[in-house]
Amino acid sequence: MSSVNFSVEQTDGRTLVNIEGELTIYAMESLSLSLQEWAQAKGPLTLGLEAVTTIDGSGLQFILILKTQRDKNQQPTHIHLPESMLSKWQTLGLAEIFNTEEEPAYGT
Amino acid sequence: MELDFAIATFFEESAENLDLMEKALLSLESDAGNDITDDLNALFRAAHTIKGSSGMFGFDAVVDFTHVLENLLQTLREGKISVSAELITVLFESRDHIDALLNHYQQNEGAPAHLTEQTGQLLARLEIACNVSEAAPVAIEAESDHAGNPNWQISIRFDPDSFRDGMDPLPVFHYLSSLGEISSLEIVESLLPEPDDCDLESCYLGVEISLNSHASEQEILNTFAHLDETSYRIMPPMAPLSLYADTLSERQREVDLLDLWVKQGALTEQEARRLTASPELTSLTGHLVAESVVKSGSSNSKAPSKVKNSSLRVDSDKLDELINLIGELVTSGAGVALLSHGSGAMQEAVVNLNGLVEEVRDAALKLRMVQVAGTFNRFNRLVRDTATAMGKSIELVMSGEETELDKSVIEHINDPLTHLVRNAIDHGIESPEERLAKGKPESGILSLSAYHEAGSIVLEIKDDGKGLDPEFLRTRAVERGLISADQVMSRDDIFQLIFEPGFSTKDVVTDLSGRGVGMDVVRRNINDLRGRIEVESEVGKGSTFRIYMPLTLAIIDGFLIGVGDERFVLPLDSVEECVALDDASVSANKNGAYINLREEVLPLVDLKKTFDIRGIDSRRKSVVVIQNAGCRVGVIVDKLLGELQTVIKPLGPVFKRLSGVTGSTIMADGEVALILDIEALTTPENH
Repeated sequence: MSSVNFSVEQTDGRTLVNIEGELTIYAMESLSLSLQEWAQAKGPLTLGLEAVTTIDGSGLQFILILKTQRDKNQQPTHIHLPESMLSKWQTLGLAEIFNTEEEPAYGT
Repeated sequence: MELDFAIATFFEESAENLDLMEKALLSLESDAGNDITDDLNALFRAAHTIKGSSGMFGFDAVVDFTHVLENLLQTLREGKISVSAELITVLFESRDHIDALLNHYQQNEGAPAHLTEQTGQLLARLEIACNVSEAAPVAIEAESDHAGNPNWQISIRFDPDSFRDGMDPLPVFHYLSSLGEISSLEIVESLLPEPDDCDLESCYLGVEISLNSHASEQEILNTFAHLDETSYRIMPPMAPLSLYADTLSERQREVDLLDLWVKQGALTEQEARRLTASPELTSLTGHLVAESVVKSGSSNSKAPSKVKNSSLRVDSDKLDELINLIGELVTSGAGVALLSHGSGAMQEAVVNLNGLVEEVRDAALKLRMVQVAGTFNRFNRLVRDTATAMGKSIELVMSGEETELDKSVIEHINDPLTHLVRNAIDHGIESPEERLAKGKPESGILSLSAYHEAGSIVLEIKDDGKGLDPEFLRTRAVERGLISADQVMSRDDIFQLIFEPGFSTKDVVTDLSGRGVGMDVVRRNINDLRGRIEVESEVGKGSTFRIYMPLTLAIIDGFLIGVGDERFVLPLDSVEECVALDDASVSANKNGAYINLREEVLPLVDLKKTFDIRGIDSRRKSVVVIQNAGCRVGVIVDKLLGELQTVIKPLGPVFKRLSGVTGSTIMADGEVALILDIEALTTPENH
């Protein structure tokens, strides 16, 4: 059973995807239908993960596939990780992949 | 406990590497003038591995010495100096010195102070030969075939089912970060699928991690204990470029891998270009994987990287235990088979089960068998050194190295073989001048062979030297009071005199032989192993020594016979034929009973009398004709029970002096049958 919820907003050519809950393998089935749509979305896309409590390997892979495809399409992607997760991912050398430090927080 | 095991493994592996060095040096010597690249690479790899592993255990004397040796080898590989006889001698001595240093560390604690002087002398000779500064070769090495990367480079490709199997990659990264600092983690993007063509529950993750860590290789390997061996590759700090080439060739479809390594600083652009431009680096793959890392700068030395394992080191005691347990299993299986009589389905199941048990038993027994090549190969160096010391030219020819012997036999046969080889060089093969004067080639030939014969393994040492003169041996034996002047002896018996204590044909005692001590020990050692030794020799043409060893703890094809209430097994190789016994045809003389078999006298052995066996005599007895080394005898039996594959179980020490029996076997019904000693049965005095 999926323990993840997400919402999508379109504002001024920007797409905001907010995900909350657990970004784990149990969420993948429900997210798979949207992946293609978000990957192809025109204009900047912000993936708001601040309300995500857990990310496992499949969650990481989901973010990577989305961002890689959008990079190929030359569409900017901003990823907002929760603070607690950010420091962990920095230790692992993962934070750099998502350019999280360079991205201004959504809404500012 | 784990450290003890690691050290024991280190010493075993170092012994193997020293063997490899010796082999490469012998090859280098014989290949002089030809392409010696492979020999030099092999030498370097072995020395490099010993150095890297020694550092891990703090055996600094080995590390420091081998480091200078490596410098010399590297200079040789670069063609800056050429191979000479003198250089090869220094290399041989260096190899032996490493052996001595390792022996010290194996048996003592602390630095090998007594070897300091020798170390200093050899180091001076190595440095003179090398003629380069101490520090330079490390840089050269980094520029040549080792990557300059001071970090561990870890390449992981997770299995597609990882997520579904509950295997999360993130803890792997976390664990690695606990071992040091992850300098860089890169995702292999070329492995990620398009969003419209992916199953998010499948894992497509491939990562390249650059880890700055002082952890040991084992600690890093522990990270991957739950991953399939093929899913990760580990390149230690300063790893050979060939390791990168190996990984790259396995991941050919990952077009971005090389760029990732450069981005991470694992490879310089120059090294990356070398990888793509030098296919020979990949051709070294598989040979270089066991190379260890080079100690550099502030990083600790690391253990050898063993990315691929084609063999597993197992304590032989564990194999013995396994074989004993399987023996018990066979016995239990036979018991179940007896109980299953009357139930068709049960019987069928038991037959299938027992068939499988037998296959497991055979496979387990084969695990203990070791090729004799390992023992034979040691003689390359022995022959070289001994011949050189004696000013003789000798070519060593080996055959049958693939013949397998039980490990316990291999372990005990080395000393007798060494004595015989040394004697062949010292006593047998003449000096070059003497050979030329006799019209023989200047170089003598010493051959070592191994083969199966009549259920035995035969190890043969043959030379084309001066041979043994029976008259001279006899005279010498009389002089030494070993025999009386009028004693009648066969030619074979006279040759056996050389195995008598105190007997030596050599007037001059040398370091090698001539003291009359050794050959008696040789025979005693062989006899202790239930083997025997035969000599064949011709004056002026050479001598052949044949050691017949029993296949202790081995599988042989047997022939089952019944005598009274007992059953015995004869090795099938020794069985020539079976004939019906007509009591009227049996004759007897002072030497015992015999029959006329197609106009030939066939001595008879009556097991019932020999072993005092009870039971009713069969009305129709048979004779099984067996042969061994040209001797034939007939064994009188009550029943011929047919062929069977026999597992030999050695008899305990209680039966050590029991003649005529070489082992035992457990029959399918759980009963024990004794395996007859063909050699003892065919020896004339036992008829």
